[in-house]
Amino acid sequence: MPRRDPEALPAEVERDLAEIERALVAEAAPAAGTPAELALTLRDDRPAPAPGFAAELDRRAAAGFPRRARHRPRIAARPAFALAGAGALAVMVSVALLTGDGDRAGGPALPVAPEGDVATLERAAPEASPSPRAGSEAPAAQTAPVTPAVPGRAVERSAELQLATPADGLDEAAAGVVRTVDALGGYVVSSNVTGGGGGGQATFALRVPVARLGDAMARLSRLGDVRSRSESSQDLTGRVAAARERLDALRAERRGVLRQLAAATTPQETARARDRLRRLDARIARAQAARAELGRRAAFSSISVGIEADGPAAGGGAGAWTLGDAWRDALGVLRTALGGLLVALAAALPLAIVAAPLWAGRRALVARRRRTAQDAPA
Amino acid sequence: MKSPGRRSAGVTRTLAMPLSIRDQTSERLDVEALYRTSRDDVFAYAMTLLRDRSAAEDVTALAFERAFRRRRSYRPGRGSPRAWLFGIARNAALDELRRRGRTAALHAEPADEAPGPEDAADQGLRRAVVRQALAGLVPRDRELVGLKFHAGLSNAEIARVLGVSESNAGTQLHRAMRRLREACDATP
Repeated sequence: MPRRDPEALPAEVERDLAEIERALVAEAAPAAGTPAELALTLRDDRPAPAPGFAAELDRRAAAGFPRRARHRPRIAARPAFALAGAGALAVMVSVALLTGDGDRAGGPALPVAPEGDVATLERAAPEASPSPRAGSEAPAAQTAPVTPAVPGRAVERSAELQLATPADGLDEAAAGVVRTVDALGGYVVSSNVTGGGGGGQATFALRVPVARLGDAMARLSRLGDVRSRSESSQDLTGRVAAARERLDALRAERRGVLRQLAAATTPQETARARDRLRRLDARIARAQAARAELGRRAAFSSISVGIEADGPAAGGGAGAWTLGDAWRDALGVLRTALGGLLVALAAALPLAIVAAPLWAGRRALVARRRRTAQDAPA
Repeated sequence: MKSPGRRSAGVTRTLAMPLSIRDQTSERLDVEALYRTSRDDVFAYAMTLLRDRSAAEDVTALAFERAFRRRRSYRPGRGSPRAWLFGIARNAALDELRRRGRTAALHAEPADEAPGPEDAADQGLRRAVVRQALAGLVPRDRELVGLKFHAGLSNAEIARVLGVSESNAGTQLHRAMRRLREACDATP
């Protein structure tokens, strides 16, 4: 953009320029030796293009001026650009390969042990996202409650569930197990997850309140294709009663020993009573533990869950490809695309940082050379 | 000093051009119209600056090629289409001038337009003197002469092309004319 010059032109300059303009427009014959006369001489002697060149240029103009090879430097002809492009491509590919392991698909936050290793997942990843397969494959019959509780009786209930997931669905299913147990007020006793990404298996030993067993089985069944399911119950009423009676008897015996200890008159009697008391205390502790264990078995149901990730990858499971699967696939594609874009940007950023000053410097150099070219002698 | 069938008509056309080469409905540049009205002017400017017909033809073709390719980069608020076009042509010409200095120097072509039989002897002599004096100017002065008298740009358009103020362009033009007159006077 031209700069505004606050300085006025000298009177002589302004007069000569005005005279030139008048001569150019009006073709008034100026006086000999004046700037206007020189201007008209210059104007009337301007170079004209050769007819052949003008015709050729007209032809090219009609064709929209396709580029000529002379003024179209090819990328391959510029080793610096070709080298920089190849380097950028290599960096991007390397980064993509380095970050493209099995975790790229965006599995749950559960830690997955290497093949053959064991990872304990108790209380892990409560924040894991809901399984997209939920509600898609669980048969309605499997949501029926387990054996109902019988009032006044202590019953231990247990269940086994074997699930199958796609090869890349193990992590999500495992996270769903943990999340389900947490939601129902239960806990994970132990868990093993082997493999991941392209397959593997997982086993869980769970405890859930006995009243929530039916709900738990229904929810867990929705985490994959149910291969097998079994439930069992064991009446513990007799064992609980026996444990209570045994504990009562031990406590009664202890009271008797305490009375003997109080009545002891010799050191030998005292020592004998104390020795019996120690042995009774140990037996009472074991009896209490056994009774508590029976109580826990009656209060919490045990669930054994096995998950086999051996099906085809996402979208190719036994069930139909649902809208939920499509949504998950779409998210996966977007996630991968965004990841790739991020990697590309990360790779391009250093190149841009290097190239920007080079580009600016080149422009400045070209402008400077153009200026100096004008000052060269004729 | 009458010159038959010459530049006055072209100059008048040139001055009216900015309105005609702009698409009135969309403000888009009609580069085809710009080509039709400026082809000879661009060549004359390049020829004056470079003093080599072949190089001037190359620069002219390259300038229009670039103008066609960059037509969407034209912004009406930044000057007339002709100023935009001559900015492109100027860069191409200066690049050519730079190449010329970097490689083997080209020899300026001798004047190829001998005075016609209808020209008076003194007029032909006068033109020869002016050509010789113009050839002796530095490229910066030749460029100003070419833009003003051979391409027919206004002082405001020259200012746009050179990136200076209009008064500065006028001052530079005046100085170039003064040096040209001095060179003419010094020519035997």
